[in-house]
Amino acid sequence: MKKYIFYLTIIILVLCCSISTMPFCAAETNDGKTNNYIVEDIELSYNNYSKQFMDKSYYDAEIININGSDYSKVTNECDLTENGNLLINNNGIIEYTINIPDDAVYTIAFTCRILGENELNLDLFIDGKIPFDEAGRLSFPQYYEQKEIFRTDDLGNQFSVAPNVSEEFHNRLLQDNTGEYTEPFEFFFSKGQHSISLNFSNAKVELAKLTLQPKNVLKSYEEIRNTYKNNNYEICDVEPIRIQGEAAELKTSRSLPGRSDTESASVYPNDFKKTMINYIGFNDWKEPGEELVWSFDVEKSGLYAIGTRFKQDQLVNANSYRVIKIDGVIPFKEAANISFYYDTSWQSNVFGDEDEPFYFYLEEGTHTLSLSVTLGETSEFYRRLKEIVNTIGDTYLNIIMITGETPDPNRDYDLFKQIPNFNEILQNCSSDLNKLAAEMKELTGNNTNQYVGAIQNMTRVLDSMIKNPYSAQDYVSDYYNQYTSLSSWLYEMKNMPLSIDEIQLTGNTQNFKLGNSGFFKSVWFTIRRFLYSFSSEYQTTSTLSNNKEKIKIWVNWGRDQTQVLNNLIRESFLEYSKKELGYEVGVQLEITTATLINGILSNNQPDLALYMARTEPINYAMRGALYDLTNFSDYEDVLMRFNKEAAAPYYYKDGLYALPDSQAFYIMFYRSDILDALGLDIPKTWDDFMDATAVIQRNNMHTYLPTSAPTANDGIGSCGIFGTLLMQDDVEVYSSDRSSSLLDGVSAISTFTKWTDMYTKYKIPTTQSFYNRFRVGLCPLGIDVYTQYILLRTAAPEIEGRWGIANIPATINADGTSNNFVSGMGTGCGILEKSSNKEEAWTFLKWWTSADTQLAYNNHLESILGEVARITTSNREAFSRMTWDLNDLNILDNQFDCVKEFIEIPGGYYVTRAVDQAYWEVINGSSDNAKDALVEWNLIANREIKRKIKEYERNDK
Amino acid sequence: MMNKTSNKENIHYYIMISPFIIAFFVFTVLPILQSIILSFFNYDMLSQPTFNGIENYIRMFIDDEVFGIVLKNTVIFAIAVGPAGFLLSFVLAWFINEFRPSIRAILSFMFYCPSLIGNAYFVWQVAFSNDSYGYINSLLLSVGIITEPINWFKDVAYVMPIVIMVQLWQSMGVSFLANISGLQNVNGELYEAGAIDGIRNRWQELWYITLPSMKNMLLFSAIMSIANSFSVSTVAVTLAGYPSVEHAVDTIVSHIADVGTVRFEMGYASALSVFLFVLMISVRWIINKCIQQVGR
Repeated sequence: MKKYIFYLTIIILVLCCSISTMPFCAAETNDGKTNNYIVEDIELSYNNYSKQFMDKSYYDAEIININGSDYSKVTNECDLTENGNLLINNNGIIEYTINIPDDAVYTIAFTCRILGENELNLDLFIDGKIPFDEAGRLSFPQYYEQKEIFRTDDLGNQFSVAPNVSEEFHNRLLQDNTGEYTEPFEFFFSKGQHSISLNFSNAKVELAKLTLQPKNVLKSYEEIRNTYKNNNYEICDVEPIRIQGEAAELKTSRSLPGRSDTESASVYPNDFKKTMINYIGFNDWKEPGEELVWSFDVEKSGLYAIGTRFKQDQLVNANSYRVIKIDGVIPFKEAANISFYYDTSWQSNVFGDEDEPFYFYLEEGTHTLSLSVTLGETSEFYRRLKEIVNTIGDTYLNIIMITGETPDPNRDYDLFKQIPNFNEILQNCSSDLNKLAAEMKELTGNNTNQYVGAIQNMTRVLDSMIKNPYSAQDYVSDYYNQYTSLSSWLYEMKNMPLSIDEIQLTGNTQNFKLGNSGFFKSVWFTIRRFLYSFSSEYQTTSTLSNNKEKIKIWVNWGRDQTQVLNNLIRESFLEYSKKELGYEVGVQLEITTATLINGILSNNQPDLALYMARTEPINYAMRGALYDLTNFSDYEDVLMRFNKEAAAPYYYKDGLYALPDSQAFYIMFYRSDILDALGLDIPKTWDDFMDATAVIQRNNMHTYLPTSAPTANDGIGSCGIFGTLLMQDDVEVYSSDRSSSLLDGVSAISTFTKWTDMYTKYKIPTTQSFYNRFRVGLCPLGIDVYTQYILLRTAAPEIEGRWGIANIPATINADGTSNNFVSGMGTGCGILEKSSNKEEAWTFLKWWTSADTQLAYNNHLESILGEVARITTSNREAFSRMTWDLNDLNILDNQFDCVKEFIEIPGGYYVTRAVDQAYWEVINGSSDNAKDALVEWNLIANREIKRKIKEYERNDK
Repeated sequence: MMNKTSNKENIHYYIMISPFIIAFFVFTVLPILQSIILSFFNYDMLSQPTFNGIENYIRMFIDDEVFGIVLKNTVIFAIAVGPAGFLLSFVLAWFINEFRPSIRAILSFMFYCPSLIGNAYFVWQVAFSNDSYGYINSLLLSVGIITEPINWFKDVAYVMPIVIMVQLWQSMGVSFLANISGLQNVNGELYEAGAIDGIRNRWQELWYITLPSMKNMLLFSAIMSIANSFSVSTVAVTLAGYPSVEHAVDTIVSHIADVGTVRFEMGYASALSVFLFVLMISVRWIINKCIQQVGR
């Protein structure tokens, strides 16, 4: 207690000093990079960097080429390939020395080939320094080749095929891929010798060449047209060259497959009966930098116009933008900013301005055409809005540090005096936002879209605060709401989805065949499709209807997941089963909400069950409904795929009744900017965490711990962090003979008390939306399931680079060492005892839990539902091979290694329930004593366990 | 002899009602019989049932600490949602019936709407969100009534009233509609006759004319709302989860579902359902007796 008071005093002292220095001063960080490459706290954005040499114009410089092998210094072992390229196999810094003949502005590109599937991450140093913020987090996508667009199943339905990693060398320009800047980065070099260093943080890359290109200002179409005239190019009046959108040969994402629109008669090709792969894009193709490349043959040299049939039904009353490149080059300025306006149906357009189409000069021969996502004209808006949102966010933190999350309505906070320049900041934000909204409206022809709406709501709040300076605190919750909604729109603004059905090229615009099908044709198509939907063929989801050996699987998911699994089975399971068993095994997927028990009772059960909740396998196993997987000789090999303890909950007696097919765990999230400002380190132990909590709460913010919210069949792992604490304190939950719960033991009670104290004594709120509060900074430190990481990474651009993840706090063991154990949550998949195809079902399970399948399943799902749909695979290899940021992957991998699982016993679900009930009793204060609550509920749980044991003993007889 | 011929003559009636009788027997009578039988067995659905006499019933009354709580909750719900809901809906119907037809139509629609849109009670989950930015919490916070957000569905003090309120909101519509149509079917001439016969006020009019003329409607809506109130569980389970905190809003039905589907004890679940069945039958008998008294 004394110690506690001592700490508290210190904390208060520190706070008194630090509060006066709020608002945020950027703290010094030393990331500890070695080798003289100092990562300074860079405040220089590219925008400001480029302003420094805006008025200098040195465009007549020469191109400078450097071979990959001509490095002057290298920190890591690198190999030279036969072609004289540099093969970088690991993290490391490679330095090149260049001689610049005269002051000039260059863009930098390098020609390389990325090995493997991960995108390439890179920091660029010039003369040992990162020139601007963005150069410290450059990334380049891998290219994928799509040789085969689709395959056809035996029912005549087409399905898309996964692309292969491109083996070619590609020229990659250093450019922004957050959408803030549409043009490649420009670097200023003064005359003389300079060094360029590349710091690869995930490298498996073969580097051929580094190119410094002098800044090349794009000509306008006006000028280009004049050159056409001077060269006497002619307009080619030919039948259009037709390129199908889905036939793109090169793409920057694995998850950009050809898609099928079965609802519209306008898309080519279409069929009312069969699924046809007939367009590409939609939500797969929306992030800045994502590129599709098509190639086509031109038979006659001359001028061509380009038209497309497209659909842009996602951005209401707004444009989606694309950059056109012909043979890898943007031909003129306007081509970097092609807009596609909103409509709910398929539309056609010809690239051009109001008066005439843009003509592109094409020589006879093969060419490539590429469209890549850009924010176009809205990129500047995005950047400006991001800046304003940041200011609004910082201001929010300043406000709540004074008022708290819910200000006392009876108190006068006098915010305008307390916060320096408060009035000015609000005024500026409001007027900037108003200006932005007006300009955005102008861009889309005065149509109000969602962005403008969100902006107007924000300005309304700001104006109210300015108008009522003495009751400004009344608007805090409104301010929070509008700020979070504006941040979400900021994320949306970065997305530019577009679907392309077909691209056509011809000189004569009259020849384009891009129109939609007529009204009657569409209606007829819809009617036939509707009638056909009643046929049995339409509803079956089985693969290969004529297979003799067939296994049946029930799934209770959406159609998307089922479709993805179905495609995967066709893509690889048939082959896999042929290799394993010597014959193809068909799979029948049935979407049903029926539970397994219904199936078993009606004797119509599936052969295997996927994603069974934590306690289900034991429940079924003790009643003889599941098959013991240890009967298969290779089960131990299969278990190697998972975390060491992942299968622990699925053992009953000596049998194994399920394989883990998903596993999730907690990690810690922190807002680096806020922790820095408060002078806090990232907590390493629980003591650190609680100390940090005290400091954070002093500043009217709070920390987050997940609450206990298990459903009937989840294990103890889902009772908040109780399971984790039990693991760290090395407390056994069940007796060694698996016949009773030991939660009434001394050590379990002390862990339980420690857990509930966090909520009752330290006042960590039991419920709050972590995601939103973390974004706005209300909750700068928290522990949550790692899936939040993906959500934050994809959907919270406004805090990019200002947060991180870390291992969850550790407990110091008695011997002075510490452990980071964390309890897992997850599901399992198993085979039913009554199944007559056990061997086939086992083959399926082996296939399903394999790294390749899990990865492919995940990639397909992500391509349809977005990165947020990432599955919590239990396969360690698949997990590591997913596209993570590499530093974060290390942390995640580390934490995954520390996952431990509780065993499950018959009636064990009641233990979870008892913990949950006892927890809420303590939190609600209906039981003063954590010990009493837990002991009382544990008694009931033990009674249930005893009853179950009696029941299965009876069954065994 | 007489009987036989009349049976033969009436055979087409039997044929006409046979589809319903068969369906009723198969889907209602059989399951009831089945659960009465099963209630004397131990049955986990996957292995053979074993006979264990009245052990299930003994357990229900002696050895099940949850049973007492859920029985109490069920009775509270039955009273609050059944008779209270029924009275409320009648009074509302009576008031609304006094309005002009156009307004009446709008008001009736408003009251019937919640029942019509089924699972719309989810909106209450949003309204009573435990977050400090939940609608009701943020309202109370901003007015200054509370200082920290209330965890509505996890706090024993609040969860019951909220569930009762939502249940009333949702289930009142049906009996309200029955009542309003009953009110409209009352013969207007009776009021005139009553006025001549010496009815002095609206209360007498209500008791001696309105209520007796709509006895059947009353019976229907009373049985509907009270029977409904015993099987209240979906709303509570959706809003507060099962088990709710300290079993505060768990009812017999949700207890049955838990015992049967989570704990695989069909025998015991059957015994519980038989108990509920008997309870509902006796309550129905009481309602019937009460309604008979109307107007006397």
